[in-house]
Amino acid sequence: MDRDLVERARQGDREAFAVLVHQVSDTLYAVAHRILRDTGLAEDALQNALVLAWRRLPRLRDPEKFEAWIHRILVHACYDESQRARPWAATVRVLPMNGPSTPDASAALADRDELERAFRRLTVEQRAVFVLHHYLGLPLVEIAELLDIPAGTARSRLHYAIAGLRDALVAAPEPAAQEGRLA
Amino acid sequence: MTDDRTLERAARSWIEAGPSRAPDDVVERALLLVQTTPQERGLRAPWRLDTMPTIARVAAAAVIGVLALGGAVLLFQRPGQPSVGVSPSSTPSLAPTVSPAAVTPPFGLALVDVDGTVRDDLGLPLDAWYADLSADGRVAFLTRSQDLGPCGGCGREWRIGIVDPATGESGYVLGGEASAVQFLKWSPDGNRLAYADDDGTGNIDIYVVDVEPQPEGFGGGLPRRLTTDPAVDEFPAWTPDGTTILYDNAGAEPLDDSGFSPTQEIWKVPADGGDPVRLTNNAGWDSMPDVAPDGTVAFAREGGLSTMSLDGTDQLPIDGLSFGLNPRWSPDGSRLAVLEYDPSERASLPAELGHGTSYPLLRVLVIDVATGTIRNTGQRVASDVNPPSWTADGEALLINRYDDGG
Repeated sequence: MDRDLVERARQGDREAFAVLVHQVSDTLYAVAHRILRDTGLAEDALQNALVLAWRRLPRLRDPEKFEAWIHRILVHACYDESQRARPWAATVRVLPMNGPSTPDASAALADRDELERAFRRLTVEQRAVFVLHHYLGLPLVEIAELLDIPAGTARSRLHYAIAGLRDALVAAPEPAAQEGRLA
Repeated sequence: MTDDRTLERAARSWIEAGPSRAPDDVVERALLLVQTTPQERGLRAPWRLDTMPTIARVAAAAVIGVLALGGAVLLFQRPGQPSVGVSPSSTPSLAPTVSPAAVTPPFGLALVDVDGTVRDDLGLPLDAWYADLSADGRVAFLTRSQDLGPCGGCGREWRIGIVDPATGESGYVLGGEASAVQFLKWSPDGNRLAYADDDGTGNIDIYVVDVEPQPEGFGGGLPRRLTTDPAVDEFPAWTPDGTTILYDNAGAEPLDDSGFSPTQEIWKVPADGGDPVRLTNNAGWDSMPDVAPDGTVAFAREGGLSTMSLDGTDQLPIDGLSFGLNPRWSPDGSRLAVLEYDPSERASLPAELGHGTSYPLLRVLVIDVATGTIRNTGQRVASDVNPPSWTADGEALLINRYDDGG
């Protein structure tokens, strides 16, 4: 992250801020979508986070921490959006992103569906820690600092996220045998 | 898949399979909003930092699609004006049309020092209209924002919103659709709001509603109707002791396209209900009263501003303004904030705000009553229905700013 860009944006340079936005928006959106599991909510969270980041940028004391700082704003925007989750849930199945079906596709699809359902049962705070750890690869200490929570809380949320996924998967019924299934 | 390691591997693989690119239109919308959003520099923290009202996103989209104005344009057009008694203008306006290339400027409620310096951009919904500031700093306004708190499953309806910028508390007053509500005015003790509303038949009268603190912000009691006259009643104003409300009544002649009538007069009615009493009986229109701490009434009349006593006597003109509107006394009664109309300028608002797109642009002036000195704050508002209101210390004004850099 270009410190000079952040400094200029802090001083009110909107063009500098636009450059920063284009550098971070893909990652921010990816994180938001994985936390919220909803395209509309993720788009709203991203937009809100970017505008809020602009407004609050003068408060950022250390330009070197811009990325962590804007990720924190994004996560809180996700918290807000999760409160406004649409009453209607998408019923489209989550399909695998990689390639055509294989003989194991139906089993993999069942696992993904179960993971999706299990993940949606987690709290948004648990999801955020899970995504930051497993998608962005951030260590828990860094996640704690990013979210401004104690390290123990970050560890606990990840633990309960994994436990929640496990419990939901254990409870999920086995997919019924399908006649005529491809070998 | 029950051991944690296996589960984590599977979950990591699963979570990696998702979108990795932000939609371009979302990013561009955000950057467009940034163009009209100020940074927080030494300002009091605005209300609701964590969310961007939906209307702001819609307003940003509307900026892109601003269309040229042409044809007939109503002067002093007021939103929500009923069709009863008002004939649409068929006379082409002489006001300049807005270029389609014009960029909609920043606008919205802000606290502004009398020298025009913006003290605090409050971050309130951009569609806030008819706003008034209470003595203890709460802002009441008409809005469609759904971000102020629980509203019983409200949709995109007009409601009276209340925000306390100092504490962040917010809420709604009045249940149901309030699209015809106009001219909000806090009682001196901040416990009630007076306003004009349509009873559903096109009859606009004066109402009062209690504002009640709630565990989560604000709520309101049942509104009380104070007037029933078939002519339009507007611009309520409280006496300093909170017992009486002054307002103007259109009289026998309907309001014209500018919102005035030669039979429009100032009246008063007890705030707890009772018989209205007329205070003025002049040839031209009289409108927009406001009452000073000592009981002196300032009001707009055809040809300028005037003052009078609470019983309608001692009417005297205020010199210096050929066309002043909506006078508002400072808390100590030494100054009047006034709107002055300049026919060469017009405000252009995004249609999505829901208030119409073209309005007269009015300058905000401050008059020193003792010396007659008139000071131009440099601030402007769209429409005379958005008068400034004073802070309790008399040092600043709540203004629904329109700033196109002109």
